[in-house]
Amino acid sequence: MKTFIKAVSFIFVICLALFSCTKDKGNYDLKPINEIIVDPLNDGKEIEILSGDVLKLTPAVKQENVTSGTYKYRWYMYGDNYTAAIELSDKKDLDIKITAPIGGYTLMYVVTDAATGITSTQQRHMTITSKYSSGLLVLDEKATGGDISHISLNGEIFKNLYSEANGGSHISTPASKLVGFFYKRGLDIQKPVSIFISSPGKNTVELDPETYKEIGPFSNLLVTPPQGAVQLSDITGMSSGDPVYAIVNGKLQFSTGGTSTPLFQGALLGDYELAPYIITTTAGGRQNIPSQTYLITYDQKNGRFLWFAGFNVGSFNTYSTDMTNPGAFDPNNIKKQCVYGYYSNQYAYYNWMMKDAVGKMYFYQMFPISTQKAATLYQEITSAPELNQATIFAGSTKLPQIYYVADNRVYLYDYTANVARLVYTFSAGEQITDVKFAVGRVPAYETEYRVQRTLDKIYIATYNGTEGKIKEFDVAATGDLGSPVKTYGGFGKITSMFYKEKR
Amino acid sequence: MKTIIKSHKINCLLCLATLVIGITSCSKELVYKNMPGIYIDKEKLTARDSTAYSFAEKSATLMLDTIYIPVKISGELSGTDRIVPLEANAAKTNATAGTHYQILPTVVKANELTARAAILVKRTPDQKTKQLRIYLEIVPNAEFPLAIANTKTNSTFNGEPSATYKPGYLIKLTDQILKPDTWDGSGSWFKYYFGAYSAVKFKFIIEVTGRTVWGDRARYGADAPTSAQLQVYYTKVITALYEYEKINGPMIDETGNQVTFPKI
Repeated sequence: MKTFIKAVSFIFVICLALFSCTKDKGNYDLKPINEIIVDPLNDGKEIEILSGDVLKLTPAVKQENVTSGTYKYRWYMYGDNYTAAIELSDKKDLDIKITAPIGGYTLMYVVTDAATGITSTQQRHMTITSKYSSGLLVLDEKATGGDISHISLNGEIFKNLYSEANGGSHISTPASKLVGFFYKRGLDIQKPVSIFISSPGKNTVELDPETYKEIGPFSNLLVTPPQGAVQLSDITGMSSGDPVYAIVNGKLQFSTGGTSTPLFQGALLGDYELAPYIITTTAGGRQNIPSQTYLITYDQKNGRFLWFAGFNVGSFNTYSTDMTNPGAFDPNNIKKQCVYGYYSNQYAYYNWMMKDAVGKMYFYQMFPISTQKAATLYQEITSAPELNQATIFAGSTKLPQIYYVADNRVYLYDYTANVARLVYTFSAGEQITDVKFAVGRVPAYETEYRVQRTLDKIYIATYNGTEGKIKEFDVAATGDLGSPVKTYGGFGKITSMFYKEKR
Repeated sequence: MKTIIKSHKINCLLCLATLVIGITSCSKELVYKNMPGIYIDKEKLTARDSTAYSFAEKSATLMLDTIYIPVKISGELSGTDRIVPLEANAAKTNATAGTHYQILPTVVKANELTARAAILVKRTPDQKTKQLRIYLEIVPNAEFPLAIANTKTNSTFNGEPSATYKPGYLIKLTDQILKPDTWDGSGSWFKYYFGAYSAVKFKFIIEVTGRTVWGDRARYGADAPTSAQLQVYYTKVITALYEYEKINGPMIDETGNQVTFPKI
């Protein structure tokens, strides 16, 4: 048997050896690939272009061993969030007006040899910006009505933007305000900043943040708009997660978010009327705050703080009444009028300024938990000139300081020292009409997930009865303002400013 | 030599034994006799033994609808179509054939194992005030002579079928609001968003949301709302209840309990 197996194996190996020597008689017509070589787009540099400008690119196309080939061309691009491809051209050279929404894109250029199907691809990152992407948005009032101007970060001023974009109509006067917020999910449609105009007694309207054309009433974002004029007084997203909160007619509207345009499902329940300040909280990504409250507001009607932490509409919450571990004050029993609320120089502490019935001023600081321990600091402010007359405030998130104004004077209140000092006085007759910090609004670990961070620049608007001006100051490390670094003039009475951070 | 003889003997014995078994296996008693049967395939039904159908949850203009009952044969396939012998049990049925329902002729097609029996249900004014019952069962006939009692699920627990199903199927028909069969089902969004069922609560939900068609567990299928819609419904009902309680105090359901919604 063994002999038989050996014999069969031997014959098999011999056969293999014999056939392996057979000459390959296949008829192969080998040709070189003739690769297509395309020059790098824009000489290999990042493309930056303004929306509405024409993008021209003329990359050289060569092919090895071919002098007059026939090619197909495809220019297209897709957004940084992997949005659907936008076809641009099928010509060799690109010459097209850019109309896509502002933001980051990858520009693709594909050249295909029509005869062989061989392709070559070049790609380059491209950023579409607009003249109005960043800078200071200014709402001013003239005899003709309100209008919007835009001051670019390089100082260039664009005026009458609202009236030009809206068929010559103007914003209602007086006292219209710009309200806006950064919405992370808006990045999906290249619209992370939403801007609204809130006018007393009128329906708040939304503006296109790049053209300032009216998009529609804010009530379009509400499932159940309240009766009467729908007026937005503050709006903000969360430092993490999708929910969006808005104060509308004194009630807090809630949106679970999660879509590129928020839809507010309804108002939080309860007997309350909110001061126009929303604080969304953060643990900064650096600590775990047990039972963290995600939202702090102040109920003007009942003189108390309210918190919320749910992911659907529910009842607004008051603080625990267990006084065995008391805080600096009882958040359920403030009984004063809130004049200002803003973020502090520490990511998990939030500042509130109150005025009592006789005009005394108080400072409160809150921590984002639902017990009495939320109340971390309370002090009566006794050394702050003219504070009880102030209606315009600007808190810093870098220093423990809040700017406030009275007539033509700018004061700086230091809540650590509980004292205020005069930091700037405008000319007599120049009334201060608004103060705004330059701010960053993109929450990130590096920025302790704060939904707003003040930068080292502050804008102060004044009006002398005939002309509105804006003075730009660089804020010193002490909080002092020094002299203005720039002055922008020729406005009407400026009622509101909104800073659009650089993108 | 002795070994070879022994081996041959064994082979002979084996052949003999095989022959004997072969011959006896042909005896008449052991031949398989085909007794076709058919049963309601409960495995394919979400509600295994009954379904509550309410025209009140449908469009106001809907006057007829069809309920499909899956059936499956037992026994061999047939080369011809066979009628499904599904009938209403008169003793357990108070709906009137022709007026309230009609069992449409259905066949198990040739060489097929399954079919869907169609029951036409009709909207009538009396359903506004009462619930009608249609108890369906398979009645053996010449084509399906085998009477099949309980059926068992394929899945097992400790070697035994994990569930046994009764042969009949009950349709509860009305034009009133009924508790959706799937309210308490696994993963039900009824239960998640609205909590425990009560008739008062469900009526309130329908009034506030304006929605009568909810689909399987308010979650699955074309009739179910989206999660975004449910968030809106949830907001609407808790807001409406809050407003109701401000004026009227707690809303009390038919069992005397206060109507509440879960905090989510």
